Amino acid sequence: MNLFSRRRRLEPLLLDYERTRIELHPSSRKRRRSVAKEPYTVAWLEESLRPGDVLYDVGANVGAYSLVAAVAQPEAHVLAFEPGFESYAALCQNLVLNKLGGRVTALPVALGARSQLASFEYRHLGPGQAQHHLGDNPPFEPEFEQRLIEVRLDDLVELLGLPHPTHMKVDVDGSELAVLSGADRVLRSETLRELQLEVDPGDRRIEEALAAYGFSAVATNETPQVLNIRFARA
Amino acid sequence: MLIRNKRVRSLGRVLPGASPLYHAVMKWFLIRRGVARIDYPGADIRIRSNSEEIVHLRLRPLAKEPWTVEWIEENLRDGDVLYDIGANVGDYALIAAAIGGPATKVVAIEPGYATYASLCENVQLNDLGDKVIPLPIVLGEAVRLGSLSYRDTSAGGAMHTMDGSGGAYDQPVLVFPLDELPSRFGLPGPTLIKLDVDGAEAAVLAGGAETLRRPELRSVLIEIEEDRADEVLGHVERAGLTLRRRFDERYGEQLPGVWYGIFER
Repeated sequence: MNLFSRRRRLEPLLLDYERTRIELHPSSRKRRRSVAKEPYTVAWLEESLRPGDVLYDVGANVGAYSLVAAVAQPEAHVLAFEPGFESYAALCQNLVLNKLGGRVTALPVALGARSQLASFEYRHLGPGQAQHHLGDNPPFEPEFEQRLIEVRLDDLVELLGLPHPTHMKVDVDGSELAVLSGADRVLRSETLRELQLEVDPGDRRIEEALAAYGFSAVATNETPQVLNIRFARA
Repeated sequence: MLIRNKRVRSLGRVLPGASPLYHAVMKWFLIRRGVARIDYPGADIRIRSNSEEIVHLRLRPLAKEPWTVEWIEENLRDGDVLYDIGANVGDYALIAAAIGGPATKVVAIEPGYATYASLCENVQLNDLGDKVIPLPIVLGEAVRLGSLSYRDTSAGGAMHTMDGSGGAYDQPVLVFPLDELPSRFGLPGPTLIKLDVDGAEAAVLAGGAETLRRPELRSVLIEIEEDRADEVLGHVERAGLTLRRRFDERYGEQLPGVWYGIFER
C-alpha cells in the first residue's frame, strides 16, 4: 500500500530548546535553531514571565519564541502576530503539533501606524522567511506583493477586547516605529513592564520614542546582523 | 496516505466512468507534482495541489459549480469588485481575476490558515496579486475575536464551524461585519458577491445589511443551507434583491441539504 504511503516519514523536527521538547512542523525547518540564534531572548522569556502575564510576540514568524514562552510559563498567555501567509500557516501548524492553541493566540495581521489596507512585500517566499516590508516602496525587489490588513495595535486591543500585554517582543524588520506609533495606549498602560525590540544599529529613534513612555534600555544584545534592545520602566 | 474508498467513489462522480484505480493514480500523481491546472477552459489557471482535499475538491471548479463560473462570466465587467466570501483556495476568485479586465478587483475572504496560505500561493503562482486581495478573516455580525473549529487541518478542506470546540485545532479568527470593511480598512465596496460559508451565510448577511442595499451591488450568489434558508432569504429580500435562479442538482443528483441561489436587484 506502499506506493501511497511512501511519503517519507521524517524524524520529527525539534526546536533546539533543551528544557522541553517542542516539535516543529517540517515547514519551519529554517527556524529550528532559534534558541541558538537568540539565547538571550529565550533566557528573558524564561526569567521574566510570571503566571497571568501576557506576551505580545509581534512579528512571530513560525512562532519559535511564542512556543518557548508558552511552555516556559504555562500560565502566561501569548498573542502572536504574523502577517506573512506561509509563516502564519507554519505558526498555526506548530500550535497544532504542540497542542498549544489554548495558550498561544495567532493572528494574521500586520501591526502598523494606521488601520488600513496596505501592501506587504515579500523579499522571499517561504515559511520562516523574514525581512519583508510593509507599506509602499520596498527597499528591495519583492518576490511577491500582497494587499493585507494593517491595523494599529491600540485599535485591535480595543476592538477585540484583548488583554493588555505585560511583555512585548517586537521583531518586524524596519516597521518598529510604525508599530510603536500605533500602540500609544498600550505603551502608556502601566500593565506593560518590559519590551524587547530588534532595531537597526545606529538608529536612536526607537530609544527616544520609548523614553517618552518612561522606558529605558536595560540590556543590549548585538550580533553582526542584529541588535536587540530590552527596555523596562525606569 | 490512505486512499479511502469513499473518497475515490465520490471522485468518480466528477469524472463518471473512470475507474477507482485511475483516480487513485491520478490523485497520487497530482499531489506529488504539487501544481495542477484547473478545469476552466477560458484561462490558464494553475493551483497548488499538495493536499488530498485540494486534489479531490478544488481542481474542477467548473464541474463542481458550473453555475458559479457561468455567473462570473455573465456578470463580471471591468471595474467590478467581487467579494468571494469563503474563497477556499481561490478557484473562483482566480477565474474572475483572470478573465476580468485590468480594473477588476477580487476580495477573497478565507480564514482557515492552511487554506489561506494556499490561496495566497495560488494568487502568486498566477501572478494576480494586483487584482486579488486575500483576507484571512471571518465575516459576522460584530467585531470580535472568534474561533474556527476544524474538521481537519489540511489546505482545501471545508465545512469548519465557528465557535465550536474539540476539533483538531480551534483557530482564533478576526470577525468583522461586511458593512465595516470599507470604512475600517478602505476596501472598495462590492458590486458582486459570492457567498459560500457552509452554514454561516445568515451571520454574514446580518452584518452586511447596508452593503446589500447598495445600488452598486448588482448580483449575489449564495450557497444556502436548507435548514436556515428562510433567514437567508429574509436578509436578501429586505435588501431589495430577488431570487432569479436556483440550482439544486449536481451531476444529475440532488445536492445534499443545500442549494445555490442567484439574486439580483
